[in-house]
Amino acid sequence: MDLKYKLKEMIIEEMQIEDLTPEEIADDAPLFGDGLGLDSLDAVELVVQLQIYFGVEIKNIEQGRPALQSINTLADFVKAHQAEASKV
Amino acid sequence: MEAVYQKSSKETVEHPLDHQFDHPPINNPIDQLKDLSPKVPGKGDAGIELLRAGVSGLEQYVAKSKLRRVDHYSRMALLAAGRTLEDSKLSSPESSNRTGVIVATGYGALESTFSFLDSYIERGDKLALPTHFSNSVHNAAAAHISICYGISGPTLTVSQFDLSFISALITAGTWLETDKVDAVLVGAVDEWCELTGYCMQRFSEHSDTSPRSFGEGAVFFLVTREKTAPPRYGYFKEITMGRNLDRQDPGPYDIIFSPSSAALSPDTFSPDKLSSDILSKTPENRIRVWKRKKGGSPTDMGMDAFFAFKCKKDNGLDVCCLKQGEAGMFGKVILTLSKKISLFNP
Repeated sequence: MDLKYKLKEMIIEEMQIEDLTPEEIADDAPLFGDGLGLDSLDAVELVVQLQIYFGVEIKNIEQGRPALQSINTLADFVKAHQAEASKV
Repeated sequence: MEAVYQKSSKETVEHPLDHQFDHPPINNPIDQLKDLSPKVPGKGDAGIELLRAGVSGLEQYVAKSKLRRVDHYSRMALLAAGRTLEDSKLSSPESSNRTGVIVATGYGALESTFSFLDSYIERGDKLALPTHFSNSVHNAAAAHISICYGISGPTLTVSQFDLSFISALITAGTWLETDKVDAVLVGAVDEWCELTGYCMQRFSEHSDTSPRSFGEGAVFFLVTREKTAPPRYGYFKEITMGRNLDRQDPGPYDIIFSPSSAALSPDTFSPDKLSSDILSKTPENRIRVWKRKKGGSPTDMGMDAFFAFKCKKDNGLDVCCLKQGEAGMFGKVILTLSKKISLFNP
C-alpha cells in the first residue's frame, strides 16, 4: 500500500476523524488549521503514532514543523528517516 | 434534570422505580423487600454482556466537530447535561458566569484510563497515548461541559467513590448558600467497561453468577436557591453524609437503599438490619423500602433521585435515598415533591 495512503489511514483512525475517507484528503492540504483542522494535541498524538506505525521519531520542533505541514511533507520525512534507519 | 442510562435489549427502561413506585404500601416490608434488580452487567470476553448507555442525539447539543476526541464517559455527561439545560430552559448567556458545574464520579473515565495504561505498559512512557491520557482524568467531563455549553462559573469534579454524588450535592448547596453562584449543574457519571465486569466476577466475594448492578449512565440536576422560581420537580430537603446510620430519623419515607459498589468491601451494616431498625420505629404501613442486590454503581444515588423526582406520585411521603459507602459511611438525601421550605431545589 502507498505510504501516503497509509499515513492518511493512520490520521483518520488515530485522530478519530469521522466522515472522511483517505481518498478525500488531498496530499498537499494543510494538516493543521484550515485544512484538516488538527490542533496541538493532535500534533503530540501524531508524533507518537508516527513512531508506532513507521518507527520514525520527530525529535524536536525544528524537525517537526516542516514535516507536519501536509501528507506530502510527512511522507517525505518518513521515507528519509526510514532510509537513514536502514543504513545504520 | 435529565439522565442517560442503559437500556435493556427489549428497549424498556431499566430502572425498577419506573414500575414500582405506584405500588401500594407493603404490609410486611421486611419479608417483601423489593430488590432493585439491576441491569445485568455485560457479557464480553469475560462472559459478561455489555450494556452501554446510548448517546445518540448528542449532536443536537454539541457540534460533531467538537466531539471528535470526546470519549464515551464525557459523551454521557454532555448529553445528560445538555438535556438538563434544555429542560431547565437555561440559555441566557448573562447567567453563564453565575452557573457552576459539579460532576461526581466514582470510577472516572474507565475505558480511557485503561487504554492509556495499556499503551504505557505495552510501549513505555515515550509512546503512551496523549489523547487517552487527556480523556482519562476524572475532570474531563466537567471540562467538556463547561467548554461546550459556555458555562464560565466555577467547575469542580468530585470523586469519593460511592459518596461522590452526595458530596457533590453538599458542595452545590454550599456554593448556593454562600452566593458563589445562582445555579449549579450538578450530576454524576460513571461508565462500565469489560475489565471491571471481569474483575467483579473474578475477584468478588460474590462468586455466584447472580446479576449485580453496575449500571453506567449520567444524571444531572440544575439546582437553584429556594427563593427563585418554584421547582419543576421538587426539593433536595436534606443532605447528610456520615456514620451511624441507625441514629438517623427513620421517616416516614419511601426508602431506596443502594449498597456499596466496591465488590470486595465488607458490608459494615446489613440492609436487612437497616430495614428492621427503621421499621421498628415507624408504622408498618407508612414505609416502603427498596434495596439493590449486591454491588452497584457510584452513580446509583443520583439515578435514584432522578427517578424519584420523575416517577413518584406525590403521596405526602418524602423519598429517602440511602447509599452505603465503605467503613460504615453512608450518604442520605431526602427528596420532597411538596412545596416545603428546604435548602434548595432542583
